[in-house]
Amino acid sequence: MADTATDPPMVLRRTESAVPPIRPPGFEREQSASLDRDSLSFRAEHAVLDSASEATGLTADDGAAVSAFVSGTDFDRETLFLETALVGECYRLRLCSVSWGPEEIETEYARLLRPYDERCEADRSVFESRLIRLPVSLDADAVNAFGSSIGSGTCDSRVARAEATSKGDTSTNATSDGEGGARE
Amino acid sequence: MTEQSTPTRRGFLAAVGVSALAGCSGLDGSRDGSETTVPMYHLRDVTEDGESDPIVVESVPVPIEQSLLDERLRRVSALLQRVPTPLDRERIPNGVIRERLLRAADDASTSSQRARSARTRLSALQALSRARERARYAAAGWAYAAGNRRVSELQAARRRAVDDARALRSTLAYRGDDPIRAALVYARLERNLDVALDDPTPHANESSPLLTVAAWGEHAETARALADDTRYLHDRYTDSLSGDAPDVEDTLAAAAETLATRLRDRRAELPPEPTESGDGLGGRLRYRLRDDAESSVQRVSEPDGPARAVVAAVAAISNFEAYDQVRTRLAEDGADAYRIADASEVRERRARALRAIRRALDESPRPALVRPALADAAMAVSLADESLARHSGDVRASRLDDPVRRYVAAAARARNAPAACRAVIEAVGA
Repeated sequence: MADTATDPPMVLRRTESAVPPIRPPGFEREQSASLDRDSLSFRAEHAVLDSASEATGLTADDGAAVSAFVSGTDFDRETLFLETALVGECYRLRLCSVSWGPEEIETEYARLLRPYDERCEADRSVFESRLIRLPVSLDADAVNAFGSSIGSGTCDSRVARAEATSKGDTSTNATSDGEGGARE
Repeated sequence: MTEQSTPTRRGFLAAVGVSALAGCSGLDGSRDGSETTVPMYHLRDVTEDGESDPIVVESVPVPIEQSLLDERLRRVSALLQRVPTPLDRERIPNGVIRERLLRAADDASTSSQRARSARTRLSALQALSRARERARYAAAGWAYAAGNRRVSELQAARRRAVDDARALRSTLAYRGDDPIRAALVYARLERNLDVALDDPTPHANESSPLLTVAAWGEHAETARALADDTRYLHDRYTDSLSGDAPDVEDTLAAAAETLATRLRDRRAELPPEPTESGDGLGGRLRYRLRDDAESSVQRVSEPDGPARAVVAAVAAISNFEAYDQVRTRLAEDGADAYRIADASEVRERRARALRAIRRALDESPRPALVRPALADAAMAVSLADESLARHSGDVRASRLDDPVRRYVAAAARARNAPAACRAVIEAVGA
């Protein structure tokens, strides 16, 4: 893996509804009434968007924020990566790092419990979608391997590990977390 | 053929007792259908022997008063009373965190019940310690939500308990009128205090401040229970000694060294394992027994205290003898010597293990000295029972290798425990 970022520019949306909050191009067309929540999650899991025309096909519950994020992307030097995961309603994911090479993209998350005074059910799940801007121009057709790991605990150890193996990554800031800290 | 089986240990044990109906189609993932399957039916009468729990548990030759157990139980109740009822979503809206606290409170109740039916006062005390820990987890977690509990206070509470444990550890004077009794008591004290002094932080794997406080509460309670229970056992023991009871530390240390030397020699003389021991029941049985024998030497030769070394030597010597016997049997009768074909054979293996454990306790010159090794063997039987309980329907016979291996190993260890006990007594010179 050539590069790693621990705090990339990103739009994060979370929803309790039956479809992911940010959806890849063609999602609505391909959606089948018979799809259950898990298969929807799988369908929406990864998408690489390497051009403005491709990225305009994204749909979202909050379309304005996504449109603005797409508009702010320079596809000559940058690529958008959409990842959606199902997470227990009482948890949230924090992106620890995203790493990429010409043919692969990997993400690492920490799964954090939400504060005790936020209402949620232990047996319910929600979608979290992240539209991540990578500081590299990737060929979407060439990216054919995706990996994602989710661990408990904090990002600290994961960030340290990612930085130790990172080569020439100057865009990261290990001490900040773009998704905010625990409120509890 | 596929009568629903209750996936519980009790349900299974009933199952094992049924006569074999081998040859049913494989319902347990068997692809070729060529291997014998064992039906895990349930029989209702077999488990009425009440032996799902270990038949031998640890004890300590110190009279533990009922009043102490009552006091510990009151501590559990007091902690649980700090948790409001119901602990519902109005109080803890986060469902996962609420479940963690409710589960801890439930564990505390279960352990308290277990204490009531414990076979020995020591195991009752241990169950109550567990109940205290879990009750404290729930109470501390709720106290965080109620706004009056912080990690720092709990860390300070744990430090005080650890300081008490350290003070007792540094002043342990190995006295005794009977060196075997002294070894058993001090082995328990050494173990408790080492546990209290180890493990500086709790294993909190969730990123919740509330659950972190809960985990620290449990951790502080563990240390406090160990420090207090150990102080109690120590004081009760020393009160029971005659005024001129001699120092036995050198006696125990010398015995430990003698036994360690013998065991190291024994380890050095172990024959080479066959390069291909096979992954069948016989091969795995031999491999595990050898591994257990080798690793048990360390508990005698590099002990955390002379008393623990002496007590651990019983199990270590038993392990070597058990390994030798199984190896010989496999050499003589072949790799299938322990293979089972139907449920009745599984049941027979289990019964032999239980008989061997009971007999060893009866035949040992000092039952209390052999008890820790037999408690291990009895626990292995219970674990095997649990392993079997996870199966239902028809299972391939090879899927039963693991529990059968545990039964055979437990029986072999138990059969050799009385002789091991005599060897240790001789080394101590008692």
